[in-house]
Amino acid sequence: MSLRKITDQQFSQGTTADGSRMEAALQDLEDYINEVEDGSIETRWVPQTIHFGYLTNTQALDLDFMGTNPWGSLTPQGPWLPICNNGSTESNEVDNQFRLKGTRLPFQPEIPAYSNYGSDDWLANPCNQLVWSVSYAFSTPTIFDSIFVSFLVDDEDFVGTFQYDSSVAPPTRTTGDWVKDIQIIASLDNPYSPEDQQTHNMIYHKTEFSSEAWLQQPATVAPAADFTPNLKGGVTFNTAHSFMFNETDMKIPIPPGSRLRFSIVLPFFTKADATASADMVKPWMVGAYNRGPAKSFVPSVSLTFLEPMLDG
Amino acid sequence: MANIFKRLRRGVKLLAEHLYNPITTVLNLLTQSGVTEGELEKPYGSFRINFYLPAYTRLTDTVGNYVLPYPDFVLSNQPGNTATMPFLLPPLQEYVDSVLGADTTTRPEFILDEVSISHDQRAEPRNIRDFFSTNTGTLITPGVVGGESAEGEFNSAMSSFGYRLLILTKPIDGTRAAPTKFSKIVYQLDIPDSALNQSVLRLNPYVQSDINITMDPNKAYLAQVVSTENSNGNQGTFTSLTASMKFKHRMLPKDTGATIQNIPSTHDGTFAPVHQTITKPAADSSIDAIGVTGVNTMLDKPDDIVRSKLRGGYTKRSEINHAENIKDSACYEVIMVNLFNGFYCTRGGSGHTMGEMIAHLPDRLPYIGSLTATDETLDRRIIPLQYPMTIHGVFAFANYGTNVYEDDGTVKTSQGPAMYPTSATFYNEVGVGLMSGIRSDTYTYQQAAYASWDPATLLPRYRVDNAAENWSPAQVANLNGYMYETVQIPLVGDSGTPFLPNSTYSGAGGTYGKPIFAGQTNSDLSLRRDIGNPAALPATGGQEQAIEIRWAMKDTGANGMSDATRWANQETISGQGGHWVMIYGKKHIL
Repeated sequence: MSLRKITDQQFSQGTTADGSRMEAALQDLEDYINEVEDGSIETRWVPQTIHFGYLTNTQALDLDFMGTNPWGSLTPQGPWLPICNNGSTESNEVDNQFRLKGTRLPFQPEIPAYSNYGSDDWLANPCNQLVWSVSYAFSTPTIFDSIFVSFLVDDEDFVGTFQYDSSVAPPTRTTGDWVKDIQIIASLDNPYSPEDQQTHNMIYHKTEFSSEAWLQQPATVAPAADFTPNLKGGVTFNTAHSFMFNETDMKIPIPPGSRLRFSIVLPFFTKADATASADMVKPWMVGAYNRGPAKSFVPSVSLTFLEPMLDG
Repeated sequence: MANIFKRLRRGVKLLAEHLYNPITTVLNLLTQSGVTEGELEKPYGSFRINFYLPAYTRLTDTVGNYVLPYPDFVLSNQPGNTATMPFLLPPLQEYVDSVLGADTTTRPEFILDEVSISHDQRAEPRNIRDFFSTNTGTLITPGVVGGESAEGEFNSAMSSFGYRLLILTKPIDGTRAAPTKFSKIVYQLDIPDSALNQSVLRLNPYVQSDINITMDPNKAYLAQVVSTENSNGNQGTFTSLTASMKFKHRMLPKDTGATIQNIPSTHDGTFAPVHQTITKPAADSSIDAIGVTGVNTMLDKPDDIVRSKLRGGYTKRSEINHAENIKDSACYEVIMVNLFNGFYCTRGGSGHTMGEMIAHLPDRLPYIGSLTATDETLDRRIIPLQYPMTIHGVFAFANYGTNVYEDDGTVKTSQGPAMYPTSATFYNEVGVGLMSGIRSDTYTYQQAAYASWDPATLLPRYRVDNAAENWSPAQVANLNGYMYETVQIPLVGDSGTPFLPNSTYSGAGGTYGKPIFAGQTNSDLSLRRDIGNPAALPATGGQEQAIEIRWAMKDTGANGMSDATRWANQETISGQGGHWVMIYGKKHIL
């Protein structure tokens, strides 16, 4: 067996075994063991958990913004923003008409032209989706390891079900069925044209999956043992409808200098000219009033990255 | 400590035993005592403290420098800024002052190494409008039908925009009557408008690395974002404003032993090498290349171990790697969680005018049935345990800061400056639990940390720090900006070492527990050590999948948090940006 890592010296029958070669080998050994190189360590990655989330506005709070007619104006949607960039009445000059790829739902038409932007009919306009997008830049080689997304619901203030409305569902979807319109996306900006989102590298896209596959529990149950402060009595924390997506062991390499964008996409709906709740198109779990789909749960996200150990 | 071998001096008779001793030393290091951080080429691990704001709007921004006195906020037509995140860098339990004594030289340093910052500008070289803006640049009036918000639209009228991240520090000072200001800048990163409004390249996201600033574990810190260069009334918003601060911390041994709560009793975290040796050559035996005592045979032993790669830490399922080599395989970890952090602050009482994200009534909080209800409100987050860790401590940062200015710069006369709650029947509860039950059979929890306190009578041993940006002793209130009270949340169990020496938690009033292991395991590692006081097997039965963090608030007195007497000054319930909880401990290489 030849020596490969610790020293360049090789000792075998028929070769010299003089003191200088042995001393060189020992010196190499000493150097090595005093500074064990990164590449010799199998377990050289440090996990990093990046968590972000927020408490969704309650309906009572949103009514402070909405006024007396609940469909008269929308409530604050941030951090959820329109998925397409259609400019505004001030400016239609956009650099990235689409900032994400492949998000059009199967029942939505292709966007024919810029002029279709701004339609308030979410069925007719694939731009009527919302995206919650968070980005990070990395200076070291990194491994994208895990995604955990929880959308917690209950029966009092955050009453999402992750099911289509019992009477109205989008084309190709079934009323009352589990929604299939949540999308989870991670992309890296192209290093040569970082601001051109047509050229970004999609590294993860989860789409067209049933929310039923990612529910916390098959039935709504109380915990066998709770901890303090207890889950509030009288409120049903709906484990049968709380969405807990967990993708692990992804092992997606992220080169140093990369810019990662992590996004969650939901369908949106608006009919700003609606005068009655019956006029509103309801793709799924709208809850009371026209507050938007992102108001029906409390979201939080944890992304896990593996980063290398660092030198001094 | 460096390993130094004896030199083979010129003229010495070459013997096989000359090699035996140094190679044995190396083998002992690799397969018996373990490689420590001083012997690693890269001896540092890293952890991140992450700051996330869902929406940073004009009602929470400022112009220019944080050191401007607050009247300048008024003059410049901007309200005060409370886009802040307080944090500490407390030593791990084995490195606190009460353990180390006067000599703290062995305590690892915290070094700020890198900052990543970003926000969502729809991948366009523009800022975007906030909720209060119409697309003609006028204000909507919240609560009035017909106002059509242009939230999310591009704001081309806003030609200049940018922001600044500051990391500020101050001595830790838990003097409630005189909260102190974060007065020293440790780090500042400016993202000017020219970095955000270019078509070809924008610094969004942007990372600045090799910062190399040493942090002090005995100081309090604050990350603060201020918008800068805003022009013309600023109708923009910074959505999903994100700062990830990466710190270096040298590698450490794992927490081991039966006193580590909830640790798998199968291994107790014990370093588990498999000792390997070479055959000692007979005295005065001559040099040979091969054979049992041959030069190549002896050197091949450590070479073979290195070729097979060195291991340490835990696997994903909390198993000890077979034949461990790396002794220092753990690193500091922080998880920051923001609660009640939507878009608003909430103040008690019922007399103040609501709306425009200045302050809202208590019944806008979740699960409060009516304005006069005595219900509790609750917020919670779930953090998955993708990899095992040990929890060494928990801090809660109660946020009482709130803006008192309208967006036109006038003082909101219907409410006063921010004050601590004084209701004797109001209390906060913060708990951390280990959770199982994500698509698994047993939905249950194990308490890991808990404290309940009435802010009016908070005991000094829980209180760590009080901070306020513009404290008025005369009014016993914070006139504007951030205002935090930091509370140490004791771990369950006993015999642990809390951060502050005066926070003994011993005797009457509670105990402070040893570190708590938290990690997913297979069934063969589900048998765990006791946890809690009195000690008992964990309710999660070694099946934890996540950490859940909860913060509850409740006023049990008549009319709850809206009572006009107990909340006569509209004392803050939850300040702008919400409360924070910080969990710190150890994680492991993998």
